[in-house]
Amino acid sequence: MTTPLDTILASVFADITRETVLDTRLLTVDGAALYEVLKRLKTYPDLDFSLLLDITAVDYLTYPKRAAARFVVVYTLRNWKKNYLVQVRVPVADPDTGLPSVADLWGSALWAEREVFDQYGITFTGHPDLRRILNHHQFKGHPLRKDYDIHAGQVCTEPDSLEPEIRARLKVNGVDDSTMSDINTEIMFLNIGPSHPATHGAIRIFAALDGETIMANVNEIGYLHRGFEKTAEHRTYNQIVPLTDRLNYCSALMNNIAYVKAIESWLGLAITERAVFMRVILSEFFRIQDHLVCLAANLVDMGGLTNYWYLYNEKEASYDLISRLTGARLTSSFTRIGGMAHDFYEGWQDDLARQLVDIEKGVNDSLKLVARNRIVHDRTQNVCVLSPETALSYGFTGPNLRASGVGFDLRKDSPHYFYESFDFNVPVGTTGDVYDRMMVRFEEIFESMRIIRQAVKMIPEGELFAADHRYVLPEKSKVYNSIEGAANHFKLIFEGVRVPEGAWYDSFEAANGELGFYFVSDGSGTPYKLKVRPPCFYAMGGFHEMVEGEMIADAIINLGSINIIGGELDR
Amino acid sequence: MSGTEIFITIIRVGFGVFVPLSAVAVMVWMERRGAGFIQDRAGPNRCNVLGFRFGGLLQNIADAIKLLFKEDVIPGHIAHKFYFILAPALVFITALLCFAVIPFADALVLGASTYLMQAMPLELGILWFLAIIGFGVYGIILAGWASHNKYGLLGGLRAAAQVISYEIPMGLALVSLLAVYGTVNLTEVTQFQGRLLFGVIPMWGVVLQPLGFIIFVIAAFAETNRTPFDLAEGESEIVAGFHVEYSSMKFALFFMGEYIAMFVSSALIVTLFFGGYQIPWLNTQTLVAHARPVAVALMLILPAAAYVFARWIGFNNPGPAPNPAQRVRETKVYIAVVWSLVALIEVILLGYIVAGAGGAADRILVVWLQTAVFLLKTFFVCFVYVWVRWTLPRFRYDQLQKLGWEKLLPLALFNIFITGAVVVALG
Amino acid sequence: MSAELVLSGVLFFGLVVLLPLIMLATAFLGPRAQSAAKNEPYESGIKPMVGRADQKFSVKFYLLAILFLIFDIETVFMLPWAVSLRELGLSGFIEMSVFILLLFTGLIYVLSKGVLNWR
Repeated sequence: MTTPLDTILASVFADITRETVLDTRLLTVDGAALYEVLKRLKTYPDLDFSLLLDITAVDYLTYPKRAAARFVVVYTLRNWKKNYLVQVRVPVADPDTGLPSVADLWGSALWAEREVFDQYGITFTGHPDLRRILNHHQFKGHPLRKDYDIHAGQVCTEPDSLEPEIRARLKVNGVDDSTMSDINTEIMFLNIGPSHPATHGAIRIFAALDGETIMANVNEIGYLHRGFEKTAEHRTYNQIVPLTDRLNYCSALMNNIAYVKAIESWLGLAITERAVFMRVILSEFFRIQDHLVCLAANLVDMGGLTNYWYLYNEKEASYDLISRLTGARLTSSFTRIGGMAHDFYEGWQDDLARQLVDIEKGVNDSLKLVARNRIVHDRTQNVCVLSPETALSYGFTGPNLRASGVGFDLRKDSPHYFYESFDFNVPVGTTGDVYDRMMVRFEEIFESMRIIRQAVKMIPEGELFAADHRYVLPEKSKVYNSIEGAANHFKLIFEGVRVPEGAWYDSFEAANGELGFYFVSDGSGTPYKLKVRPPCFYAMGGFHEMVEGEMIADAIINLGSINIIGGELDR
Repeated sequence: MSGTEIFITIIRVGFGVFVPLSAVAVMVWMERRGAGFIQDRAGPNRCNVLGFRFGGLLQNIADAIKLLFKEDVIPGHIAHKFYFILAPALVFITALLCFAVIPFADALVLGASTYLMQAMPLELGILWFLAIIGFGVYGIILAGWASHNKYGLLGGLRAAAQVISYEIPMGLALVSLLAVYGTVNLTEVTQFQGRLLFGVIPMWGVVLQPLGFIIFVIAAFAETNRTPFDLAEGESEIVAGFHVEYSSMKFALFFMGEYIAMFVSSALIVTLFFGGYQIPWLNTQTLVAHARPVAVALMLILPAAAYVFARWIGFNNPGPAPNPAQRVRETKVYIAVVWSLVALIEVILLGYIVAGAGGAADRILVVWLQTAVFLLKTFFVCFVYVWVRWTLPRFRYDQLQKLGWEKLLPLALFNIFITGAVVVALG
Repeated sequence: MSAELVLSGVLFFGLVVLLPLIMLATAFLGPRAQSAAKNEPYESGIKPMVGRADQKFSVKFYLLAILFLIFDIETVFMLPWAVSLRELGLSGFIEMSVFILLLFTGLIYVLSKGVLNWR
């Protein structure tokens, strides 16, 4: 099928190999042409790929059908207006010479390239600040390379001072020591985090202060890095579901859904309608939970503790419902490839309806304290403004991007799971300040409720699992009573779901933004490579742009308002 | 000095020192249970001795004991240990000193001599308060500086800048008040408020100086570093600020100092704006003149109040968990204690009516009554502090300064101008 | 000074100073244990590696202090005026009005200079 995008790509990149994988157009270029190709993708008016979603690399060292180059770097780009998705594959001849950096085209490349450098040791020439990001600065080797010894066990002792980095940042902002000595004063260098009440996890915000004003800011992440992607290379596909719980642990089930959806779309496995509706209901319910946590924490950072209880009490009550359903409060692990772990329990509709009413009450109570509160308005309006251009450049997605006035929502723009048939709005902000980010989340809570209420009415009875036993476990009765069933069961448990060879990207509108998964499969039951595109990693990458020139207190509430979740940020 | 004089002096000083101290326990309790009430939860209610929980008050005792036996860390990087230790003591002392001039009852006339019912019989009144409260900021700056900690330094600077900024609107609000009252002596200020405006409305400061009241209350909140002005501590921003390096009793001194300051400024708000110890429409002369009917009225009101309390606690205290029988027993004991207290007071009042009425006994009865009224009013204002804390988020630093300098200061100047014009016009 | 005042003063100050001293003395009640981490200043769980805590602080705080000094002294001038306003009458009122006007002009000047602009 030829789409307008194919036509444009054919005309612009006539001499470049193009393929179509799912809804992604794949361009394969070589290192020399890379910068030009990406620049054209961004600047060519009909293409306008304003979002650089992710950069990752693949190490083909042990891949069965290995191509010439060991490393291939993959850029994922999106045109949010027309829902175009393009990936650019670049074989890397020599990781030490590496590739040209695209940090001057997209801000999100700053951190994305650092991550590739950290994990694969691929250099990006022209990157202003290329150093490790997820791993400790004393760490040796590159963990996602296939020849890294996972039992090496390195001990890292010294924290990173970050002094050169912040001085460089000060210089960028036009402040140097002479500016300060002219008025006979000194810059204060303050660490906010890693262990600070407002970091909601462990992030280090290192700020250079003049009085209360932040003149420069550098951030260090990776305190919760636990090698999700490396672990995933040693687990079967279904075994990875519990690992995804720990990404954004405030909305664990959405990660589960996003993960299995990515695999199912590659397999071409159509899940049953009941499972689809379950996923819609649960993911919207978890979106509400995620926003409740974010708003509660954000308001605590502002000093309003009562809001926290109004919002969090309801979240706690929701956990009761969730634990009745999934058996766990936080880490649900509720999806399987081809369906859900099990069906709703008896009477779930009543529980859910009651819980939604309670949440509505809690949110409205909290809004009463906030919506017309002059102090809240002064604290949040026109504070840490994020312009739509900066937001897109740094790869912001989800509520943070929508607060800046960019109405991009995968549920509307790339419909899946019948989202096009639900009646709901996508709230969009105007200024992109802290206030907008908060209010967009408040509104999304109400919109999600609308979706749930519609979905509960529409959910059909029926099977929960797709009937394809290459991917889905057969029923126990079949396992015990038929040879075929026993064989299916044996193979699925021991080998995992065998996923056809290939590489693909699939994404899902999680609570925090676009949660994408990039897989490389070698045809076995474990992924050859799995890369997560965590929405808050890129939000944190643009943090300094938002807080420089603002005050300490603003930085604190801004951190809360972009909803940084350590598990997802550091993986 | 006569024995009576010495006795009264000791009582007054005892009141001035130990009432604010005990008020800390009550206010912490009020803060916690008030927070629980506002936030749809219970608040601390499990701490008990033999099953008696006193509505959660025991939690404070437990916390105090815990703090006593905590390790008192003086981190190795602190170079000026003396100042580091001095700072919390300074905060505590200045907070307590402020209470010295606040009258908790009208001057007691016994025979030829008059006794001012305040911890120290000074006539400096407001001037004393202004002087001491300005001194309190030294403790905070010293703590921030001696901590050798960036958060501490920022907290200390924030606190200092905030306290001095709001001292000006506060002082100016007081200027307009003084123009109305024509005196700095707080006993005279309160006596002034015993009069009636047009024969109906009590001439309380809040009626005469509504604008001054608003300015003063905002400034008082800022002076005590309470939400929405708690930037000096700013838990989520600068992690407790100036007392970040303090532990054990040194931290407790800051903590108690803060609550004492809150109690004192509540007392001052009551004294300046809500008629202090005055009961509306019943000023001291009226009370003394009609001491006997007042005593009879008290004898009627007390059992009624005790009945309401017993009904309330009988309904609320027995709960499901963890031991219902225990709760019922506890409730019964509370009710018994309350009724026996009421009985005791009734007997005393009866004895007074039968035997002691007239002369000194009348005046002493009035002092007791007024002290009770004063404490009641003060605790109500303290509750407002709690209420505000759990309702509003905090300001940002520059907004706080702007509120002080750009809004309150011109308003206070305007208020002085208007007040001056009215006072001069009315002669 | 009356004996009553002296007695009150001695008792009150004695108690007010003694109480915190007793409370500070309870430092000897707690346990003692030294460790490297306890001897470091707290900076969000990381060793403070850049900058000192006893550095020169921002000049903006200093400006505020100066501003306070000026206006607080004005307040002190007003206190005796307020108490004796009834005796001073109209002339006193007019004099103070001029003074307030001057003060207000000063305030406007200071604010227009942007002393309070922190951002």
